[in-house]
Amino acid sequence: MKLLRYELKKILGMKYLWAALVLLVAASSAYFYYLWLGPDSYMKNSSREMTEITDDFFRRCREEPETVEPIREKYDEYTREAERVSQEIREGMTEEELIGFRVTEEMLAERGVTYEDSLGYTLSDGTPVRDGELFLYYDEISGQWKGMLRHLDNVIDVTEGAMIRYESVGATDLPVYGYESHFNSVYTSLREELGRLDPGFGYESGWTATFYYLELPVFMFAFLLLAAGVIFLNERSVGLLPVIRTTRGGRMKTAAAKLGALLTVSVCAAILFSAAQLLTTYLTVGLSDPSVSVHVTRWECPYPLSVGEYFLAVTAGRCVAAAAFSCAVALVSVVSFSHVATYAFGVLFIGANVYMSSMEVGSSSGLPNLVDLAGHTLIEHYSEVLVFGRYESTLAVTLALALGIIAVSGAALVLFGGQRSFIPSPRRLSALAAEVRVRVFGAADRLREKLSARLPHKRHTSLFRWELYRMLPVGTVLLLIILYGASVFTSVSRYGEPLSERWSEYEDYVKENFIGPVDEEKSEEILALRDEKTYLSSSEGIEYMMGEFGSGNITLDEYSEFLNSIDGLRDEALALETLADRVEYLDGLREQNGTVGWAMPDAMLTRVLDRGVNWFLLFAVIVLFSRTYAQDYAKKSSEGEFYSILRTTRHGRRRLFRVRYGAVAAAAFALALLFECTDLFIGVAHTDYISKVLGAPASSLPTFGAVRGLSVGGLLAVEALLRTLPYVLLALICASASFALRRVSTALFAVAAVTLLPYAIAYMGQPLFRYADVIPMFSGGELLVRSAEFGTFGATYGFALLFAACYAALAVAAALLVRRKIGE
Amino acid sequence: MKRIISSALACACIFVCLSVSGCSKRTDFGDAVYSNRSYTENAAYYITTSDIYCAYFSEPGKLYHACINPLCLSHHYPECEAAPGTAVTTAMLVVKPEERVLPLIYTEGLRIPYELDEYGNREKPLPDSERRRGIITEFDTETGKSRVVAITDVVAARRMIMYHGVIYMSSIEDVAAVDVETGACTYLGEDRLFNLIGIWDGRIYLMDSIGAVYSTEPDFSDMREVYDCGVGVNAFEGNAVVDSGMLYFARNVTDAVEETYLYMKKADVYAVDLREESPSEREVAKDVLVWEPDGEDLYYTVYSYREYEKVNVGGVDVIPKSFDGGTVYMYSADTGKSEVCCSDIGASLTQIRDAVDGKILCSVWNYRDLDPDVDGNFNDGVCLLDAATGELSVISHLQYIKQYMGEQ
Repeated sequence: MKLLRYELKKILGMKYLWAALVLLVAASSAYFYYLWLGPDSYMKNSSREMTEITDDFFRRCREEPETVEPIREKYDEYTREAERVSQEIREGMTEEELIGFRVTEEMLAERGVTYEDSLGYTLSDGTPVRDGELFLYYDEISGQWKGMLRHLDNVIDVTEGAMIRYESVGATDLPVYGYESHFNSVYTSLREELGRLDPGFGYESGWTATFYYLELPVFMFAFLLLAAGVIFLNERSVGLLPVIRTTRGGRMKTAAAKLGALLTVSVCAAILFSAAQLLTTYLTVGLSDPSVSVHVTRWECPYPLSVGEYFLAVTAGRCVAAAAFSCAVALVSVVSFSHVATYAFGVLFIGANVYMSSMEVGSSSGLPNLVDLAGHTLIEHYSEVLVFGRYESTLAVTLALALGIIAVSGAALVLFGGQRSFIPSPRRLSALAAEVRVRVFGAADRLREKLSARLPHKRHTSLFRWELYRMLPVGTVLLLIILYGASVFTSVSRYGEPLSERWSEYEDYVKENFIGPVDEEKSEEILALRDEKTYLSSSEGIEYMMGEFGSGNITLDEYSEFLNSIDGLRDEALALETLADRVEYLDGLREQNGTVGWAMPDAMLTRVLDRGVNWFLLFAVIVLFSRTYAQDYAKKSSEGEFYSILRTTRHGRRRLFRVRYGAVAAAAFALALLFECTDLFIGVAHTDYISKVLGAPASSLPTFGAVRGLSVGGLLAVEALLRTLPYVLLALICASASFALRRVSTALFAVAAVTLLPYAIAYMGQPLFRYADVIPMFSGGELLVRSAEFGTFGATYGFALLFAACYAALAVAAALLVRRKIGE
Repeated sequence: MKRIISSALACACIFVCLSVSGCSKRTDFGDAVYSNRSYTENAAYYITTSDIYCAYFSEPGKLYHACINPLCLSHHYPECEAAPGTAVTTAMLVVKPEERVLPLIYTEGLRIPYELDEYGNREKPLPDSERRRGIITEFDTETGKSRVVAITDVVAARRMIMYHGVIYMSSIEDVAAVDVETGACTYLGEDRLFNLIGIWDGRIYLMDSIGAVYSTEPDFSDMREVYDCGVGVNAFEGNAVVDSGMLYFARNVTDAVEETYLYMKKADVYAVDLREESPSEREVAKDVLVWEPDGEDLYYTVYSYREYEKVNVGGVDVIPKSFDGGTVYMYSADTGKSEVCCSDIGASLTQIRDAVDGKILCSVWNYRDLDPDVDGNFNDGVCLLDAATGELSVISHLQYIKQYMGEQ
């Protein structure tokens, strides 16, 4: 136990793990909020207050029906009367009058039909909650519950029928028979259990959102990868192991303690992620009574659970998945004794599980994987998987696999966790390679040395190159490659996604016919053409042409040609309909400020110009440059290197400062250029007409309607500038933060917080923070649009210039501060 | 010790992966030729554009989805695993070797315009050049699992024939041979249009667009002309078939039935015995409506329109009518003569789906026993006619079209 406590203490002492945990829990909760609770989600109209009220109403219906039933009777009487009166009102109206007509409460009150809310619920701002709304909820959920019971009856009937048919053809030994009989027994017992509940249903809110959130496991596994990857490796050079490891028992005890600590951390992390998700839900939309049956919303859950129990079951599965993942990663770290191999395995393992999780075919099958176990998929509905020619419950198989991973990895970790790896470390491998090289090419090398000794050569590597080399160790390069790959993949996916039929027709049509300025004359021509094509492609148009043919005004060939071109006409009409919307917008633009806008195929172009911030690049810059000075602090003075000698004099420190900031700026610029150019290249490759529209006013695109005085080409250039230079400034700020805060994790956390917090708060609906949000600057066009919206100092780009200047000043000031401190 | 444990773990992982993915066992298809087969001894199978249905002979009148999943709500692609991953399914082949209790079902059709993984999930839209491709899927009714066998250049095949685990099929694009285990595709690759008309004695029989019949080896080598049926015999419309050494083909095809929705045509059918050294054609019958070989013999009906006395069905007066007089003939290749096989069966055959061992799987137009409950006498579903007894049993109804009942 002492060893376990020691190991736990060691893990708890790793501050960067804490930082990672806080960041990932926050990111997971924020993403959860964005997907399911935020202003754009399906629960956008829910509130905690309303959840509490509705929950209380359902509780009253269940526990104190005598307080609700008389009100319900009164309300039912009112609705019957209201329906009768509404019918009377409608009877006296013509069909034209009935279009869009609605009977209001005032109309009913005039005829003496009134209802006063009696349930007594009001919101905190004094707004009364209508009885009708609550009764509607009740009826809806009651209907859903009955629907669920009917669905289960149907499932049972289907399986029984299938079993009888398989029996009739002698197929009882086949996998399909087992499959049907398992389904039958599971849902029969569930149906009996649910049938005993009275009334069974209740109000459910909030919990469903937590069940839907399937991305949580990825955040959790990312943290566990960081934690499990170091627990066994970190013992190489520090701690008690060198002493304890002198005996076999000691080695095993140490490894067992590490395993215990690993499992504890995994389970705690799983619980923490779940708790954070629950807390986010509670603070935003609230949580209803946890004892309500989960079958109100999860019809096919094979277990008779309440929503609270369902959540606990999901969390338990998450704990098992977390433990299995951690054990597998730790085992790889012990076998390979390499951080790179461990993290590469972890990323691949997460990717493989996510992929298997997405390969669900139908609602009853899939491949066992840890992501499903850490989510709720396996208990959402009963499913089976074919193993050795037999169908078995996917939940049981996945649990068995996870527990198997824990048992096998755990045993292997205890047996070998305290030993050195049998796979040579990279350092040993390079030593081995050098030895082979000397033996094989020794003679040639000696000859080359002799020749080179006669030639003048550099005495030392340039400081600039040395700084760049320091900046990019193998792990960082690997991370950059992964981020670059992800960025390219995202770009290819975004631009490769086909346009909808409407926009595709529009793009093709405009590309061939209408690229150019739209003045009044052109506008009228387009609108007239739209009317003509729309008419001709309609049934009236076809009848008209038929009449023309009948009366001999057109020949049979012309009529046949018309009929053959009907599909083309419809496509043209669709495209012209969209173009007409654009023309109306351009007319407005012309009337407003005299700008003659262009008609152009703008769907894909807008996608290129409005491509948002490149999060991978942002992440790469923050991670890469937050360690600029922190590395110096981390090194011991005894690990003297060239720059350590330079730092002993003021002049040397200043020289080092100049070179280092130069290297940071150059590297950041190169990195931004690489990421952005690739993205732009992929985008432009999908817009083959771009050379024709470079001179068009940028405000021709509705998204950039507020941007004045810039052409599309100019906008592209400004965007390129804005999407590259801010990263240089950000890199300088990161370098300064690393000097001031001395630790990588602290600097990284601080810069990430300053960069992302205003964005997050502004996103959650605090408009004031939009003035401090730097993210639009990294996405180029968005800053210009925002600037035009604000109209600071009466100038379109006043805010953008001011903002960029402030950010530049901040970066320069931070750098100067560092220079001054260094010179002291 | 460490190496032993690591090796054992690796072996266990590989074994589990192989077992789970079902790669360990190959189906033995034997030497039998499975030609356009759509039923087994227990049940008939039926496809629409996106569903596979099953009708058990023990439960006449009932139709089930072939999908085994009771939680599957739509049974439509892509949610339903039994439905093939195609935009439009055109052909089906039911294969049940002796070792199996329930059959394998192969379907062919136009590939959906999305990339599929091996489980049939949509991944991303295909480029335009890849969109018009055919897809062959396999649905194992014993396990309820399906897989994509191959993506081919042959789209919308009418006839699929399996021989030695290879599916042969043709369309206006080409003739293809697809190995169902490996998914390997071989194409005939001729400039001219060829259609697959049958497999016999280890050779593939094809017909070109001007009525000449050729035979080739299964790998499309050694192509030889076997017989010339002459211009006007359109194999693409299903007007030529080779089965058990007999070539049957139809000439002089004309419209037969006024009800255009039935798409029924009549033609003169001829037989050629390919087993003879100098094959020659013999007329089987004139004005043949529907026909299908059963081994070397042929079942067919002859156009003979007749109206019966008016009856009241479900409150509506209907004039029952038949197109073939309810008579089914059988042509014997041995004697070279036709004889009445069943008469006055109570319905006209509008389509013969398959005929094996005296059992004719067909669609019918009833003129007797009109059923008021099903609002009609046209059954585009599955009926089974026993050629020996003349007993017609309705296996399943798919469509009931009231507006075509006659007088309203």
